[in-house]
Amino acid sequence: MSLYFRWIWGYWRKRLGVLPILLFFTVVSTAVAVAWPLVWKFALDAARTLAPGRAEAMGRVADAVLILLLVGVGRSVRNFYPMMRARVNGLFEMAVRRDYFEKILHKRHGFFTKFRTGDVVTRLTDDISGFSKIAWFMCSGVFRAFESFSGLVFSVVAMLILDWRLGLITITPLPLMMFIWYRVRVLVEARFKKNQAAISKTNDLLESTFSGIRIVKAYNAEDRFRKKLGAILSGRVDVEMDVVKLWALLDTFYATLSNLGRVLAIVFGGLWVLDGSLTIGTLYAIFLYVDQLVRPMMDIPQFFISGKQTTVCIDRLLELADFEAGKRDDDGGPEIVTRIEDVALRDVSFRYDNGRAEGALAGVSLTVPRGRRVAVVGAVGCGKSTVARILSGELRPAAGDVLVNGRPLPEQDLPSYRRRVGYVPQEALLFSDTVRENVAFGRPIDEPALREALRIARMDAEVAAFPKGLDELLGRRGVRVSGGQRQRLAIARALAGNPDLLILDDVTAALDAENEEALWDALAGAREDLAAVVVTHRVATAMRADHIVVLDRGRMAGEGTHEHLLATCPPYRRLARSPIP
Amino acid sequence: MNEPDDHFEEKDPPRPAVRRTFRRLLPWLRPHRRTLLVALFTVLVITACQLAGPFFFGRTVNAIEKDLGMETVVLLAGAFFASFLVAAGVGYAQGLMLTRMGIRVVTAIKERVFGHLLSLSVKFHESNPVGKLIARTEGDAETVKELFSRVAISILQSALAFVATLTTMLVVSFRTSFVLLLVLPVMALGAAWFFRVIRGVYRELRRRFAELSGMITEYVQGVPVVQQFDQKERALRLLDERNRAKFRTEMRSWYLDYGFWGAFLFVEVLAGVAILWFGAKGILAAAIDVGTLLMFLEYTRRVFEPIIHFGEQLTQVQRGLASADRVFDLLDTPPEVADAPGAAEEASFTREIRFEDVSFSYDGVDKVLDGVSFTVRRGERVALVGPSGGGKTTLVSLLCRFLDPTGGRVLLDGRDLREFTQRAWRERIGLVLQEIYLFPGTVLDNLRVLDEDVAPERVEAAARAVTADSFIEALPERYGADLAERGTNLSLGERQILSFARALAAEPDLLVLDEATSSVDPGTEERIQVSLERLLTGRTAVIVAHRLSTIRGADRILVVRKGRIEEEGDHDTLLARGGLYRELWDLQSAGNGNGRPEARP
Repeated sequence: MSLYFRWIWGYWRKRLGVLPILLFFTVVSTAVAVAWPLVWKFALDAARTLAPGRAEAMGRVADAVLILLLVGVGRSVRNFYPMMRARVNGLFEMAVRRDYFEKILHKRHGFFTKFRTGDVVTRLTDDISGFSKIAWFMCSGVFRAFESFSGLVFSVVAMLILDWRLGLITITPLPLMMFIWYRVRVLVEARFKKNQAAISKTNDLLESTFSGIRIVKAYNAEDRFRKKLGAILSGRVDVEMDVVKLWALLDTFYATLSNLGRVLAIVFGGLWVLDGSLTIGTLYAIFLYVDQLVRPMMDIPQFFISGKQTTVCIDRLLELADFEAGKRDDDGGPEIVTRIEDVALRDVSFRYDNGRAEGALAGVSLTVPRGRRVAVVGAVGCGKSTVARILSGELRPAAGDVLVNGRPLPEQDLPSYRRRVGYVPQEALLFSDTVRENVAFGRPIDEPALREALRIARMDAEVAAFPKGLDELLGRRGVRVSGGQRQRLAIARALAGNPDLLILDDVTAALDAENEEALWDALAGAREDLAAVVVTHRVATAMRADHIVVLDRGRMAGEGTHEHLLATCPPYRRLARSPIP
Repeated sequence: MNEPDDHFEEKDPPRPAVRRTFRRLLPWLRPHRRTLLVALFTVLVITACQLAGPFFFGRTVNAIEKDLGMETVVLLAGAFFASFLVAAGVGYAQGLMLTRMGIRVVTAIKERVFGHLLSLSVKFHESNPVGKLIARTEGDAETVKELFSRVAISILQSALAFVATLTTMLVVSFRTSFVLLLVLPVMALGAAWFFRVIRGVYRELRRRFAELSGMITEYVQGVPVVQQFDQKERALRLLDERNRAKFRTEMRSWYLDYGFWGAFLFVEVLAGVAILWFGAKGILAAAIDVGTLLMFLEYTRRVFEPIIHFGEQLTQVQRGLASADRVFDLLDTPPEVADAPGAAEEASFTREIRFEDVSFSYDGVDKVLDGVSFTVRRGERVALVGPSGGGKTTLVSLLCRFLDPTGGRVLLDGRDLREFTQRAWRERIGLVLQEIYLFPGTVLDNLRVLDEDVAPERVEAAARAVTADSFIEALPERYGADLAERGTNLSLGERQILSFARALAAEPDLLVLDEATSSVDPGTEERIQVSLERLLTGRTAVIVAHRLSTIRGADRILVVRKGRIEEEGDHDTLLARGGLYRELWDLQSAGNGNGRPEARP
């Protein structure tokens, strides 16, 4: 409990300035809640003294009207209280989201294998800003309950002072109401979850049907899929009705209870008015109080419900933050890398967190000097991508060293090293932004350099063909690019920084033979002194390298030239033979 | 950008022609006429009760005032409570009834939309992201449901309550309630303005939120790239920008919302005060009594309620209508490939399938295929090769009749494919795609594509034939094992082999393989090759492949480039010819020493 309190307090501490405003509103709100029925009492008791011919009593009615207007203004002012709360919610929302987004930006690779993107995004968006979740609870949840509680207490006190007998009678149904509301809300929550599960089942079917439409059609399965949807949907009718029934029942129930209070007020109040121990004005005032008490009856239990929800959401954020807490992706030494003369792996071992053998490395060594091209080849799962990711600085070896210019990489400044590296991962990632922004990617790169990078990556002609050229938006509101174009844009992005070391991880998979060849020609012509590491399982690609390293299940199986390896390295021979006789 | 479907953004159609949309919605309600009639009746009952409540309240107070005795007071108070109880009970029943109806209607709509989407051509599906189609079938339909189940009736209820309350007040005492006639039009105008403005703000807010979560999705996916290029500061700046844009819009919506309702609330107070003032004067003139004044004060509160209610509903109505419009728009999209009237329900592939001068264009301008002619005879294995974007996949789509040619004909044993129903022809084909499509469900369901007429034995035989049985038998529930999302609990190679088994279980006359083996490494490929050979043995097949080695044994190879067939012949002939095929072959086989020596760049 205190953990959550401290967490929330951590954000509140920086926003204490808004507290007086919120407290002021709470006071206004409570005052209005208490005063409003009292003013009506005054007005009605004044009206009651009216009788034909007694015009002087109108003076008291006029007083009542003035007070009513005043309190009416207060009521309108109170109406801005939720707005103020919404503002504070919004400020918290931004702060929390920023904090955790920043933490995620510093996470190392393992984080992203553990958490799916969609999951992380939900935690950063809906968990924070959804109704009755973190941001809502932090201000609205707390202060709404506070407002309600204060209004409730003072109203009840006012009722008891006005007439303790009537007050007691009318508030008896209220605790029961609060309890039932809470219980049913919890029940609704459970049924609602069931309904959500049914909805996602529908979505799963829709998703798999639309993405596999060719197969559905080719196997004449349209009707069968429609029937399957029909079955899921008819199952949903009852689940949904269950939710609706509860809600409707709840609605009806609390309205009935509050009306019961009002009827009790009239009957008993009426009795006492008859015997002269109560005025009509007091009766009406209590009548109005009962009406006002309904909302607090729901707000106070809501505080506990959303509080519980919020602790779950906070846990989910903390889970993100606590994963490998204290480790940052860019931990390293102070030395700035200004130029990469050579990069080497010395006896490097690595194993992924999932413990599987795929992609693991054991005792891998290689050297990439300037101007040389090294190919890393091997079957899928042999660890060749891991080599690329270690060289790029994304992964850190479990044992062994990464040497840059002969010195261990961890002693040097990692961001400065990365700036000298152009790394193109297997899966090219672009952003919904212009071509220019995607290639320059925040770095100060002038237009000629951008165009040159696009030219080498064999993307210049296609970009020129976009309606807005370099300023064309990529993604959902711009042009859709193919897998190959995406790869080539990623290559252009890597080249635009004028790197000393280029790492291509199997990028040629998305390029056909023609395009691949042209890319290599352009690269060779433009950057003679570039060091390059090419990860591939295409032997034709490896052949163009100066030096080939063969990996077999994470170990070095051989290295040398193509001819040398054909003669001496059985795994390489297998690789060369396998797809092509 | 990497998952363009994810945050598909809804565009509201320009302006739904409201009356037309309503007219199209009506037929869906026809089966529920009786429910609607009952609902209409309940609206009347509820309104009557709503009017009766304050009336009895006022009478009770009067009975107290005039000392009419305890029994009268209790009776009137009982009537007050009873009128409320009836309204609550009837309201509850009405709510359930209408919701059930709404769910039924919307289930019917969903099934219709889904069925229609399934009948639309592959071309349609290619140009519409999956996320959008799901939004249409599920999201939009749900919004329409609100329209049916609650909104329409509650608007009617609000309007009726408003008119009835106002009329009662004016009839009972015009001199007390005439102020409402002055206040209400002003408020109505204000409300109309407010609803228009707030709608725009809400739409903007939805957009801002989509932008924000879209940005977060991309950058969470792109963290390795951001780290690589040292752009964390920039990512944070971008987040701040999106955060603030959303915050500003959200605050604007709150300012508007609370500003308006604050003013509204004050006008309500003014109206109440006016009623009190004129009521007091009425009492002074002996025109009304205190009980009536109280009744009026209660009515005044209730006359404003429908307006608030109406405001809440109006947004819903607009959203519902916009959704309905999008749904109808979709239902209006005609299927591009449709069965001709009187098309043959049976097709047989006895001699050959022939492409005769076939052309195809997606947009009517650029021809993807341009005068392609070739024949696949029964028993032959024909391969399609060539650079990407050359038209191979389109040829496969035409062959499966996912598309109809825009020029020329595809002939089955001499008869145009369009003379058969789609079903008739597709029953003869087994299709294997590069992207292996498995849906959530059991192995068996996947292999027979939900067709329960296909005996499990036949499926198992097919699996054995392509060596899929080895890993299926290893699954805990064998053929009854559930495949997780798109079969992720199987390896890529296993999934590929499953898709072979699926094709085989359909017992096809013609196998169509689209790049079936290009996405795996050599080791797995070897395993797949074995399965593939077993699949192809003795069958007619059309194979599209990047890897030339896989189709080396084909009877005929068609080299497709830029929408035309450039070369045709068997492997040796084409190699000897020294054309495009030779070039591609050399490029791919450069590694094994038997191709043309590679010029090092």
